[in-house]
Amino acid sequence: MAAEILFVNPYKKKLFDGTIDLANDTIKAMLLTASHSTDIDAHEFADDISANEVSTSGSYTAGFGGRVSLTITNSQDDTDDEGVADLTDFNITNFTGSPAFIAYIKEVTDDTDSPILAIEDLNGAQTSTAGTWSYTTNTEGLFNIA
Amino acid sequence: MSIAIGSTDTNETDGTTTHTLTTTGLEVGDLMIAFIGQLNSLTAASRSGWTEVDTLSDTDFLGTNDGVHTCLAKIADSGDVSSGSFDFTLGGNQEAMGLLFRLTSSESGFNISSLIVHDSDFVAAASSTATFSGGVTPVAVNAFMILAVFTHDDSNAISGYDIVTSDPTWTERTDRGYVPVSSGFRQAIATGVRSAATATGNYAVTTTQDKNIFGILVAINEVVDVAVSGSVGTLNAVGNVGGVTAGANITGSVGTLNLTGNVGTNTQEDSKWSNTDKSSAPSWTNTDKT
Repeated sequence: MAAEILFVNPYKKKLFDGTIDLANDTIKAMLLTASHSTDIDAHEFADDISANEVSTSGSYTAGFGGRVSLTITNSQDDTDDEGVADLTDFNITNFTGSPAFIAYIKEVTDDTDSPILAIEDLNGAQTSTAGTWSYTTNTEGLFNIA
Repeated sequence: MSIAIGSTDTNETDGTTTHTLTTTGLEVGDLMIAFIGQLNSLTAASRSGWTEVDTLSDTDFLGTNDGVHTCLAKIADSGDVSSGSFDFTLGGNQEAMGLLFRLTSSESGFNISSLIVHDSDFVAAASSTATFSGGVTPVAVNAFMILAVFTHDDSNAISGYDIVTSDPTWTERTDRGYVPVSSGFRQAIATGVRSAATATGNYAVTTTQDKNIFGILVAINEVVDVAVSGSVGTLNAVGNVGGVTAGANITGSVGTLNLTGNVGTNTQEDSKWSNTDKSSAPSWTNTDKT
């Protein structure tokens, strides 16, 4: 299965509600093990998927308040006629673990009210051993609306 | 990913305060790991800049003589590469046996504090099998395992390297005796790659004599970096055209109203003309004015 990003349906609704501001809200990357299986209908909040979050290691701290804080910049792409949410690349240092998915979430007050935006399938576990786990954003950005 | 032995050096010394071990082909970032056993000392071998991974001593190693078995490690820097030779300080003018591995990584190198786990034990008068209690849990799969023993009596040949759970295939790297004093002592070391990252349980070797023996089990994993290239998630914004009942998308015709000026019909009677004076030059009169 190729790597892909699946938007969960509750987030699609929230686009119309206008309740998530990618550039200004606390958007985080939550790393999940290969035991995770995405359900775009049912996965709405972080606590729906937190059972399969990777363990704390190196600069990654599992659980609400930890994880990886993301910097997202919104722009307009007139060439491709898209709205673009671009993500600054990020690293996790001295990390031992095997993330197979990244959940993009907005942290609010705890995992029960922190909505999931989308879940990226990394096409299998990407195992780091006491090393640097680095993520390079696609040249087209993280999210596009076409 | 793999860890390989780049070079191996062994040495035996008697009545000196230092024990020298060397490497060949050493490169910055290689892991150097040494195993040194001493007789008549309880003080671990040491060297500035090296990390003592494990050490264990006993006052009855050889009869009533002290003994100590130590593992030391260092990640090579440029100074180490220039030298390639390393003097370890012993507990005094001791008898000692040592081995130094130079290990290489196909990944991103080594981290002594986080990626080396170890255990040591001492078994007195081990019979045909010396079983060491404890074991290790490697940090990750494919750990490079080293099982090192230091035993009383130079003729106590060692074989049968074993761990209880997920035993790797062992390759013996040394099994040699040394007799600086009566009955001497022996160092034996084997290595293997263990696929499982679970607890090893106890570890053991087969002995040929019932002698006291030190054992050290070390599991080494290398640093593995990961670079993930992200996907792009696309949301398609769709505006659905509304459904119109009866007459959707009709372009109306032009209704033309022609305004016509209809010409009226004029009806008129013939005039009644009469010659009232009957003259030859009549004066005609229209009598009904029509």
